[in-house]
Amino acid sequence: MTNYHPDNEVLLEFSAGTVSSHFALCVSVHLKYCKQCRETVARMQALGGVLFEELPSTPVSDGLFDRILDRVEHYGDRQVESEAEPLSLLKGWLPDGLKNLSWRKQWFKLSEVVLEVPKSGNWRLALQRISAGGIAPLHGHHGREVTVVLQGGFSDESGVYNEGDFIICDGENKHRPQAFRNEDCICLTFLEAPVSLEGPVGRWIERFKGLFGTKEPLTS
Amino acid sequence: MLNSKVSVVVPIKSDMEHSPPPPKASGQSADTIASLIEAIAVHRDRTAFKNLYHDFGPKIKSYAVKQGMIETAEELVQEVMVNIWRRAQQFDRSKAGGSTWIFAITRNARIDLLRKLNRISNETQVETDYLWSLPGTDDPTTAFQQALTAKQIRQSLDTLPIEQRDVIAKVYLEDKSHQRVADELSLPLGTVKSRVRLALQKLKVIFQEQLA
Repeated sequence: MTNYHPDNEVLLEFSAGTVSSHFALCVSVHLKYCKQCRETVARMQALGGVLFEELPSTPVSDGLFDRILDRVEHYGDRQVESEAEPLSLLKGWLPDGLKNLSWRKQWFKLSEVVLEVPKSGNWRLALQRISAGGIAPLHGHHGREVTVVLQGGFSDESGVYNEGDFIICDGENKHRPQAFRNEDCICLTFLEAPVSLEGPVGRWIERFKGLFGTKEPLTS
Repeated sequence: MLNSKVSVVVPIKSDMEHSPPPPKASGQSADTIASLIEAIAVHRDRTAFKNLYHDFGPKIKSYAVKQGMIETAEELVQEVMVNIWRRAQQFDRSKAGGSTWIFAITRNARIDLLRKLNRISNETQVETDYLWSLPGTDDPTTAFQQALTAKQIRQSLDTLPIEQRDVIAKVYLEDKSHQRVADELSLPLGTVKSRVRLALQKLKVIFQEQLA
């Protein structure tokens, strides 16, 4: 049972298809855990259908339907089977689920598996793991940080988060997440821009960014 | 112009021999749309496909134009119709209304086209149809009557104040962020957000207890 959800504005933009594909991935992973949000999205899509039906008609070219018929001749059915298992969306990177991953240590109790980074730009899609009872460094955000808890849970200054919870942090929040004591906490995180470490040690490390993190995505 | 096109619908013989007469799309009732999709799924009924095209092709084009895809509008119409054909077998009227399903196909085709055209850079490797699963395919355990919901929404949409209706249509169909709608209408962002929220509540898309 999840307690932290995307807000309605986020769900609406997701339903309308106006969020980025990485952001949509995080929302979709949460939806696998959360029946309440699935139902909200279903109602929002129904609204989309009603608004869509009410659109005016714009005339289409004469030969268009024939071109469509030509194309369907060459195609069979397309079945997209969506699985209920939350990690199914990540299986391109995680064939064995959360087992057998090459974790790279980032901080004392914090490690990471990079899933995708851009050729140019700063965003980062990764799994992050805080060992049981461990504390991640205090950090702030230059852009939005989207987190979905995949295993275990953590707490920070603003709340306690369990499996399936969806959390957005932005420039206004600085936080120091701590994993529950009984289990490693693993999260999917999408960073729109790098985090900034805070505190005396963190700021010192910020000056040596090259030592921190990796730019190599996981290939599998 | 459009009416004259409807009159030149020529059924393809080979299909007509094997299929029952397809429902007419002109009434546009939810049941009719669902029946047309089912006729495509079960009988590969090209007349049903053409009827659906006559109803929805021009709407898909309007949607594309509103989304700013002026040059690729008819490409989108093609993609959507091909996807309707290919995915019709996954349509289930007990789980989703016909227009809801076509809207979702259209939305996904738009996203996919933009991803392919590289106008959205920095993509994830996960395919669009998995990121945005079609209604009814993502939740086998929820017996959610979406077709019924669409009917209720359609009825209460007419009771919305015009300013709420405008804002919700812009956010939903014109690929505009709340901020951009606010700029366009010269309204504070908070006003746009509260209009959207009020509209969603009145349409019973969201409920009071979810507003925390």
